Amino acid sequence: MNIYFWGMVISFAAYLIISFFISKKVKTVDDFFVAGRNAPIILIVGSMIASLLSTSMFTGEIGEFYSGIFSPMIILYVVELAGYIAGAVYFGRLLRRSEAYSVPEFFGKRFCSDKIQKLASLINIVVATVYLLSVMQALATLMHTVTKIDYNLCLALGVVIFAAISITSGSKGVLITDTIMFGIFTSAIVIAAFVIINRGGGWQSIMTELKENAVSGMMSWTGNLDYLYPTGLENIAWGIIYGLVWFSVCAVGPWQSSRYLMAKNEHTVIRSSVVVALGTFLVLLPFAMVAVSLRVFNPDVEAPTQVLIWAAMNILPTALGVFLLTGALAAGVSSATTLLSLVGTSVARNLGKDPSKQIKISRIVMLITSAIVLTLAITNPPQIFWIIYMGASIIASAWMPTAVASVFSKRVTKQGAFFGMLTGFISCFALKLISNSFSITLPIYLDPVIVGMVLNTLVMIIVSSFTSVTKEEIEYVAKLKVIPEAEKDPKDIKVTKRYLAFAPFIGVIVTVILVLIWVIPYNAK
Amino acid sequence: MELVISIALGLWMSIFGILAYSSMKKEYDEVSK
Repeated sequence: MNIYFWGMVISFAAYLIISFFISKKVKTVDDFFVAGRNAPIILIVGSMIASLLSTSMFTGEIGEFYSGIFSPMIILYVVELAGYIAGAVYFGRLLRRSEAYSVPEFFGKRFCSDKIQKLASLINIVVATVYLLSVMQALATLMHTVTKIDYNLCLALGVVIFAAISITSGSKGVLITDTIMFGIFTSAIVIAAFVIINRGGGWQSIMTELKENAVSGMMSWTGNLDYLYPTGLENIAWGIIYGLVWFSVCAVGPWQSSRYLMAKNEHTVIRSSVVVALGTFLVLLPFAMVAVSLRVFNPDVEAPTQVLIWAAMNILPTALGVFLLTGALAAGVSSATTLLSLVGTSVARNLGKDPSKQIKISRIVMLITSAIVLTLAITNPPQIFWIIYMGASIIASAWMPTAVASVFSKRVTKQGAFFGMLTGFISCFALKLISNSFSITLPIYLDPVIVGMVLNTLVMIIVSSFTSVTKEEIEYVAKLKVIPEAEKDPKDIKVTKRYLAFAPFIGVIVTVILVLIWVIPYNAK
Repeated sequence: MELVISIALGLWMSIFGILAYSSMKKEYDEVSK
């Protein structure tokens, strides 16, 4: 039982106490499932970033940077983050306007079809469970490595914590604890980055060392050609493709867009998206810089996924190391609470006709899901990074084309949307499973997510051409496109316009920062 | 090439910012009429 263990125990206890007090304020179905639809920008932003960045950020993705694919990972991140702005403006506003309790419920309302809602709910449950499983494994691996407590006991402890938060305080508790955890892990990584880079002799010195002595191509545009793909162009293609996958997650993914259902109004949705897009980029940067810097300190860490743990215990002052690892745990717990509540909401809103019973059903479902995930986690070996990417790929394959059609198409029918979504889901899941099980490396253009999205779109178009859009659907879409009176306050519109006017400058900020921290230091002689 | 990637990524973000701004401006202008 070392000091890192006690740091984790204290933080866990604090989250439980906070969620206990929040649970006292949860009275209605709206409070439990959508935080009373009254959340301000800070809670939406905090929860979205906290749900996106899980413990895997501190383990799997740090490991990817450490292994030498800086350029493809940066491409992935920036391509991904544009999804926030596109998602909020074209999808998130309508999602909130529909007054649904979940994204599957929105699809059901939009296409006037219970079948689509049930299919989307099933996909939501599968993806959230798979993602939850990977978050748990990362969480337990971290706890086990740091505290030396039995791995299975760490898994059980993690499950108890996030299940207790989600079950007692619902979405309201998840939003608030997510935001607190976001504050903790962000400040932890920013402070750690300053200390680590300073101890490495400054950023320019680290970049020179990486260029001259580290893995070949690590900081060049190609990335390390011995790690992912053998050519720079393939590595870039990988970054773009998976950037687009995560673009879909940021735009319509259940653990991201569902936060908009909790927003105070549509102005909050739009303003939050601008803040999240820039905020996430600024939070991701110190992760990337720390990860590559650690190559200079120790080029031979056996498991790259544990390089940050090594740094916390060997480079940083003890107090900061404890803070950083507590932040890593917070990142995992915050994602897990969101995912678990998504499963609870999906099942309860499909099964419980009586609203008064839905909270009870949701709590039971979350309890059962926690037990199932714990059992799966104990029997499954840790494969942190790729499991998460499977969940994201399924969302991109099954939901993205349907979400785009739900907003922009007047011709896609409920049958087309249903069979398209089903085909996208099955094809991506099966191909991913086969390629992982038999260790087959598919060409980048046959990645399961590409196959899934193309097949989804084709089937959607073909089936829609043989069926007709109903009057009910036409009327609902027309109603959905009308801005509600409550959103027409000139003062609110003025402020939202200012946020939107700032959005194009995020691109300028991204370029300037990349030039300052990458292009100039890397090419300096 | 690193510079090209940095500029391309900035452009990518800016394009979505411009699209979002212009489509919302159009909607809000109609509301204000």
